[in-house]
Amino acid sequence: MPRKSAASFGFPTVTGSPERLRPPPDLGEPERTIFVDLVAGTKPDAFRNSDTPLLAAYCRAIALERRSAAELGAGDDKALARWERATKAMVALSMRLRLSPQARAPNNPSRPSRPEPVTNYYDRMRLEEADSDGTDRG
Amino acid sequence: MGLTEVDVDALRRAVEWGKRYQKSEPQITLLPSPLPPEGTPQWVEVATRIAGMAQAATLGLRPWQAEPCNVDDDGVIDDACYGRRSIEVMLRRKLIVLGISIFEPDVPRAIEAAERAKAGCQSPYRSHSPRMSREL
Repeated sequence: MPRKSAASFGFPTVTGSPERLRPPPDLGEPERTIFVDLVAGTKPDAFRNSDTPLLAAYCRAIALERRSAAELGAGDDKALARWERATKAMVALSMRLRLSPQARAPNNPSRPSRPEPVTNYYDRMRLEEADSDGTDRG
Repeated sequence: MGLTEVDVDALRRAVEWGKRYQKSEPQITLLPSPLPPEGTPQWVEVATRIAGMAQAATLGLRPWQAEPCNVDDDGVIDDACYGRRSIEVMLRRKLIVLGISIFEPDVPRAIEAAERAKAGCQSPYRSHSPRMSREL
């Protein structure tokens, strides 16, 4: 007989950390993947719901930079301007979102910081599976 | 349950993970001393337990979440039951589809490698997030 879960005994399963942001439904597939990578790669409390538009814009800028870089690599010189604008947007947004090494640098820490906790893989899978209507899996 | 060569290889690496863990945390005894001879049922039992611990660590699981090697995939999905939740069964099935052993100690890395191999190329941009599995 399988072991009983805590949930089956009626105990609330509280993780103590806020739920991670879910990608907004209007994001395309590449941007959505970037969004999930970013949210899963940072601490659960790194972003609030109100950061979603800014983070989505950042993901679009990254996707545009990737597309422009690929076009540039394929010999399309006109892509250079798009790549430059996308990179500028990435730099500006990453600073606002504290996602760049410079933006998150602590002020001369006297002791080494703790290692980053491993992202819960099931949380990551749920983020990837999340539908626009917000369905969740146990 | 019959073990394939892939399973035995994964269990072997899980035991190595356990040895490294024990070295980094000497106050915790994970492995019996002496270790049962490789291939014996006792060794499989020990290695399976260590594989579960390694998976919990590399997947960042919470205490109430089941590792892929402890998931029951017999067709009964129950989101209130340890080892039968849909997300847990989904991950176990994903491993099997990708040809990864359910005893694989470093699941995120194995999935990433398998998906990359499946795609047939290594994109310089794909891996944007920091590694999720902890090096010991």
